[in-house]
Amino acid sequence: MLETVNLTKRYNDGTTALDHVSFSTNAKSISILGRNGAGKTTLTRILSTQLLPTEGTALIEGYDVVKDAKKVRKIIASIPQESHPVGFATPFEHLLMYLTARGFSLSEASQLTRKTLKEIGLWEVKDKPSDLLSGGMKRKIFVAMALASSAEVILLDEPTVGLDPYSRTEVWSVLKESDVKLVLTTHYMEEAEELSDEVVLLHKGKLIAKGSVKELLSKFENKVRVEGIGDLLVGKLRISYVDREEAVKYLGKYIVKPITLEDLFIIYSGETLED
Amino acid sequence: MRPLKIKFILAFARFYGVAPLVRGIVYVFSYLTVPLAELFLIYMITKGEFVKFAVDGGLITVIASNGLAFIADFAFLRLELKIQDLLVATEISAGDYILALTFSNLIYSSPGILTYVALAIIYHLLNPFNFFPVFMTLLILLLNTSAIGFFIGSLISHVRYSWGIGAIAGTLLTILPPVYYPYYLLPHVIFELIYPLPTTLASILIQNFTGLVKTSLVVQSFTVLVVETVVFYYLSIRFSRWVSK
Repeated sequence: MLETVNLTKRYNDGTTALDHVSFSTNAKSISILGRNGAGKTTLTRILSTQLLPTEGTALIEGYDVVKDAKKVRKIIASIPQESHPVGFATPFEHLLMYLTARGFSLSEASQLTRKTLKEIGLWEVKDKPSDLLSGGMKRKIFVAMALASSAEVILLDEPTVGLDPYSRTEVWSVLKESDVKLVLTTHYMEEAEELSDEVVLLHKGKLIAKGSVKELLSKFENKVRVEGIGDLLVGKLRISYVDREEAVKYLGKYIVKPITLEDLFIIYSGETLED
Repeated sequence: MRPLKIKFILAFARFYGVAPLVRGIVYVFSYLTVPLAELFLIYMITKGEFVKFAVDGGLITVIASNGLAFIADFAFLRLELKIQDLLVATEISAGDYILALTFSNLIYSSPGILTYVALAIIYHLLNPFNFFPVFMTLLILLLNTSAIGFFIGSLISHVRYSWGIGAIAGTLLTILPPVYYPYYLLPHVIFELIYPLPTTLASILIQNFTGLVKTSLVVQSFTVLVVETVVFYYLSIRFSRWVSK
């Protein structure tokens, strides 16, 4: 489904946003995780044919995102990070415009728009200028665009930023129900766990881990997280990861938690930071 | 040559042309304020003598402003709303996008255009015999300034620059050239310098077609305007930032 080989992006100002990233996956849905500036958006933009790489290749469903950009564009729908709706246009008009850009006829686009707006909970506000909608509803317009597109692969950059928990769950449920292949970047670990078969961890433009959530967590299955002691500093919070058997020593004095995907993120990026 | 995405252009025009027209009428008047103010000033200063030039000039300004508004529009849609990125990853080309925005802005500014067409008819500037050449000149001017707008707008690195650059381009192209006054009032050297500007060319043509000036520059000006438009359109598609590098 998705393959990158030595994918590198250096911007004109000298910043290396992606540094020889190579991975391949056949997972139905993957999440690209990383701290701010890790290279997630750069990777998504290259995969979406919006940005040219400096070196290396990326393939989606066997098509090169540079050489076969037109073919890639037929099978993907990509929603950029921080995309905002045009204030005076309605959700209906946004979807109609986007679907015709994807090659649907006006009547097909109109039908798909109605169906998707109902599914995603925007039907009641379909004719309201998006200026008058809440931040969450504005974000949902873009998720609706991608879902309505009938694309084989949907790339979503931070799809649920700004959504309240109810709306986020609503969006997740729609994404999970769809047959579409998903590539998403997110800061929400629970979102990655909920929606992804595999995760790709980036740190400072480099790939630091890849695998299913279960695989990655299995490496730490005998560990627990202890907050309050340890060398790993996240802000002012000291964290350590200790064997489960040792946890009893810390109970009552410190906060002891099971390992989650968030810990994987801290461990991997933290280790690299220590390096 | 690939076929145009007519369905997209129509849907985009509803999205970006009709929607602001019906829901943001105050912005529509922004197209009219400068030309109407010029009309008033010229009427007062020349005691009505140059008012027909001001009407021709208003029509040219409304059309040229339409194209130049792209500087801000393209920058805003690309940098702030990320609509361009959204569309890059579809079957839409830069050319489809330019035409869709051109058509949208044409709808959006239609009250201004209609106002000036009405004034031109009232002042006996426009009639069935010169309607077609005037219309063609304005259409070419629209494509020309749209291409310039797209090219500049696509290179702007931050949206805050777009407002200033758009205003400067608007002044350079619609106030200074002989848009509101006859070209022969200009000193020869200055005229030579600003002759290639699309608004100067369009102005010479329209002032001639509407009977305000008689000139031998019609064929030459029309040819230069068409060639410029083709070149600007090519440059805007070839060298503007559609896919980021």
